[in-house]
Amino acid sequence: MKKEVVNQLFEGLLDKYFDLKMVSLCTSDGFGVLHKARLDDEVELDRVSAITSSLVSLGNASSKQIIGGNLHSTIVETDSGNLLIKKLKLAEKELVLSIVTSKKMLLGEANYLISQCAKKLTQL
Amino acid sequence: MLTQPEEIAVYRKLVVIGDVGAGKSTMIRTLSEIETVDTDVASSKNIGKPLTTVGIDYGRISLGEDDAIGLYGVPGQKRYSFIWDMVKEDIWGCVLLLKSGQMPSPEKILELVNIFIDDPNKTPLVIGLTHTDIQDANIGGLHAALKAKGINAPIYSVDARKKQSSTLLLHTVLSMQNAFEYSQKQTLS
Repeated sequence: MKKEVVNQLFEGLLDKYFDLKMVSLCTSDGFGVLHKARLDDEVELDRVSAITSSLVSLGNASSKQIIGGNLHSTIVETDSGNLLIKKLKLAEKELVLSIVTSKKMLLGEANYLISQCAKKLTQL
Repeated sequence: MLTQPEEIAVYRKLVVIGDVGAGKSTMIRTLSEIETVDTDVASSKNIGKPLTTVGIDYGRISLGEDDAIGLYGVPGQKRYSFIWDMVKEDIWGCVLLLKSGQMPSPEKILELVNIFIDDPNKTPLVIGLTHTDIQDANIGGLHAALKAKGINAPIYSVDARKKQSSTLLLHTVLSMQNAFEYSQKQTLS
């Protein structure tokens, strides 16, 4: 997977969806791979990676010990927008994809968007 | 079956801290009576072990019908310090695990301890030295170096995989906390 191609994919998504505020990719143990954002307050890639990898690991623990089944996504809803996090496997590596959308984008739409983004990443 | 928090009259929070690979998750798994909540994932970099904690490890030990100790293990990497901030409130006791052969400097140890312990006279700290079967450690030297930095904590050589060894740290925290409470009562009376 080439970083440039992922960069193009992320930039393309940010251009296409105005309500997409951030898209980020990191390893499952929280090391940043790539991060694109147009948030008012720029968040560092390291911080995003640490938080999203933690949240997805807790989501995974919840799915295993409380709900059952495989984890699809972890969602954080706030007054300002939504953070959606998805675990994916690329070239045998566990990665974490996350997006932040504004409140104007419906949660279902955001969920579809991150799923499409994950699908495109696996096809690269 | 999950116990409702309101059913537990006394809930003590024991935090396990230390660098990556010191044995925090292992110790919590060894001590906990419940299936632990673990958030270990595969390490993408060479950190000397295949898995690393990125969220929180949680386990529990019941001391009686209405008395329990919650075991909280936090990631050792500094970028996960937002989890440290969540866990550090109202700590009852703290266990610091240090990996023999990869010892941080006394300054770094003090920095880490200060994040979790506001008042050393209220929150006991016990240090466990792990991996001493692989690499010898000078406990006396470590004790002197830490004492010079103001950390006067008992240090044991432990094997986080063994219940007896991990329980030693827990019993020491309990004894120290009992001593604190006793001296507080004596001061008040």
